[in-house]
Amino acid sequence: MGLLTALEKEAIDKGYPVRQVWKIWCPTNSSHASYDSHTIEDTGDTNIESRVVCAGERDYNCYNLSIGNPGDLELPEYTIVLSNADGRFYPTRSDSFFKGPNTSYESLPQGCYMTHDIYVGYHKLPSEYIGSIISVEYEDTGNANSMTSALCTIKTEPTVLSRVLELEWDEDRHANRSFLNYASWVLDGAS
Amino acid sequence: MAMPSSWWSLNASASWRSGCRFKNDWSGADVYDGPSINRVICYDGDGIWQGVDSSMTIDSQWGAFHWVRQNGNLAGTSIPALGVAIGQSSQKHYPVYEETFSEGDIFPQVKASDGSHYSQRLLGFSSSDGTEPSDDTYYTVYYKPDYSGIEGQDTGDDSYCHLYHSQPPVYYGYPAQVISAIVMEAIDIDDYSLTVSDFIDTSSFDDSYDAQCDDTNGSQYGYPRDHPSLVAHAKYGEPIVDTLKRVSRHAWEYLGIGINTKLVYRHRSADAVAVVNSDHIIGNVNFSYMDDFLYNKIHMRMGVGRLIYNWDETPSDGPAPNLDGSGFAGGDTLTEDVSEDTSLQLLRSSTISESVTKYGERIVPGTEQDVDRALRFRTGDRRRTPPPSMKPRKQQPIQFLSHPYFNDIKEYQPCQKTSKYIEQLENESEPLRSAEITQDLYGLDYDVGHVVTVDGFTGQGDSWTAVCTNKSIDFNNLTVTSTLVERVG
Repeated sequence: MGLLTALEKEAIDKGYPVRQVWKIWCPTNSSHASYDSHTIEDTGDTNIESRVVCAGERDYNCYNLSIGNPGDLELPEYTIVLSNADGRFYPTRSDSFFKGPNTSYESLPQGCYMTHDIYVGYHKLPSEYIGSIISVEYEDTGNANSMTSALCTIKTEPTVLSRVLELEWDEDRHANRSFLNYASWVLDGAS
Repeated sequence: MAMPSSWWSLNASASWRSGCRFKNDWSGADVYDGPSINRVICYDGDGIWQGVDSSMTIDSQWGAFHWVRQNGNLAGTSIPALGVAIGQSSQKHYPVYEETFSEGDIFPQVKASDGSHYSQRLLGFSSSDGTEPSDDTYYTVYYKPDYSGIEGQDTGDDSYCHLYHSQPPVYYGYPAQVISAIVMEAIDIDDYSLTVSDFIDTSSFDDSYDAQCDDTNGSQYGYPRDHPSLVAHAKYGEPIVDTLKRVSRHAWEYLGIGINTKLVYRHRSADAVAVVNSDHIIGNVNFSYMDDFLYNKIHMRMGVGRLIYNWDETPSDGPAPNLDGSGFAGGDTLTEDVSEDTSLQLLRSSTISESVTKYGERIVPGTEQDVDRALRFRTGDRRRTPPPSMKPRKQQPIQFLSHPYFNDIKEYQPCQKTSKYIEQLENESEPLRSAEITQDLYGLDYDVGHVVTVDGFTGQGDSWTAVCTNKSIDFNNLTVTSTLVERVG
């Protein structure tokens, strides 16, 4: 039994249309306590303008292939290129920003994350992706004041795993975990 | 059987980490959870500084953490050397300035809680009555760790001098437990309101856990039930990904990022999860053989020494460790001389002549000749010079019998059945087929680390089993390219 269900395989066999959905989730305020989603492309929704110029690819590997040669463990980075037709990404002299769809809050792109899902018919395939935006690069349009319609290259990496795997152990790494009991560390009443 | 249901709950009580723990066993004191400890070593009562504990000795249970020690009655000890140690270690974390020390007169400058620095007398306190120090009562402080220091604290009428100590966490359990515990502990999911199952493929860890801890359930390792297999020390400054890779080398499972962007830990001998046939393959299939990937010659005997240890042979005088770590006897369980047990002295030979012809011998570390030489040395036959790596001590581990990642007993205590380990080594000598195939979206039917059945490829036999080691999904043309390597073992 594989990852695909019988219905999903049947849908692939029968040539059901494939739908890809990219969304950018941006914080609604500086606390990043909640996020709004903004669909940048839904290939199954004709009401949404097609903006993804290059859908990119993701590579996956695994470690510990062999006792003699373990290989390596790499994060599946994901880069897409899209047309910035709605102008939500825009650079300033110091940085770039992303304007959320429902609020006036403007976040650094690095504060946003992107999701990418594939459907065959109504069936969501198991290649779900959620990635933090690492960088946004803009096509040079000759007009630095307007990046509307410029091509944006958005580079992402898996949101949670990248933040874990790229960390280093240090004294604070485990000192701030809320589920550990630190109250009893200080002895002899001399806190 | 799988991980305990509470294992994957970050919000559960601390018991979810059963089997994985980091604890400091401060000899003479209670056991504390946590990475650091602050302990008052002396205080100023009514203007007279007093030591609060005249016999504080602090060692770690795990053997490698002899970080901090305070001893009394060290008159005549070479104090200047200790003073240098104080200065060196403290500079890395706490700015305790090195002074010119002399016997009986140590006044290092310590950092107060308000950030100021002042001199604190560390040596020569009376432990009992607060009187001026007597000549035969000394308190010396040894510093070895990177993160240790002395903190002074002025709390008004009373001032305290703290001995501060911190150490990286220690994880104790099966590899599946240790890896998942590290990831869960390091993560801060609040930012994204996620749950563990959003970033960890928990079912893959459960399967691997079953294989690693249950000898009756298809284990490739032979770890008996409820006997955790390794002690893993984190290291300050080491990327967490490197720690995970180190731990994963103690088992044969595949660690990776799955196509659902979750951390997966695939059991190597899982049943085939999908069938790959020619129906959905796009383009050519690129076959190759991977004999340059392998050891092609194995001729070895194992079971000598204590580095590859069989938990089934737990000495009768040492308690078997329980899942929660209780009853762990540390090094005591590793001193068994298994050379007397002929059932553990296994001789296996395997040579792939074609590969040897092509690449030369790629022999595994540790040959029968090495073992014989070591055995003679252990048993008193010293007709030949022992290998340079061995010192003339009977209990010296014979390290070249195992692979490097099993050797560092300061880092881990490998506890794998020797017979299983040798079987794995033999697998490494088998020539493998590799195929790179490009499929339509049917390629999403299996993930990296999954074992698949390859069926119906022209000219490549009727059917063979393989593991998917790499996957690339192109979202422009919706193709999935997978690398399949023949599975052995």
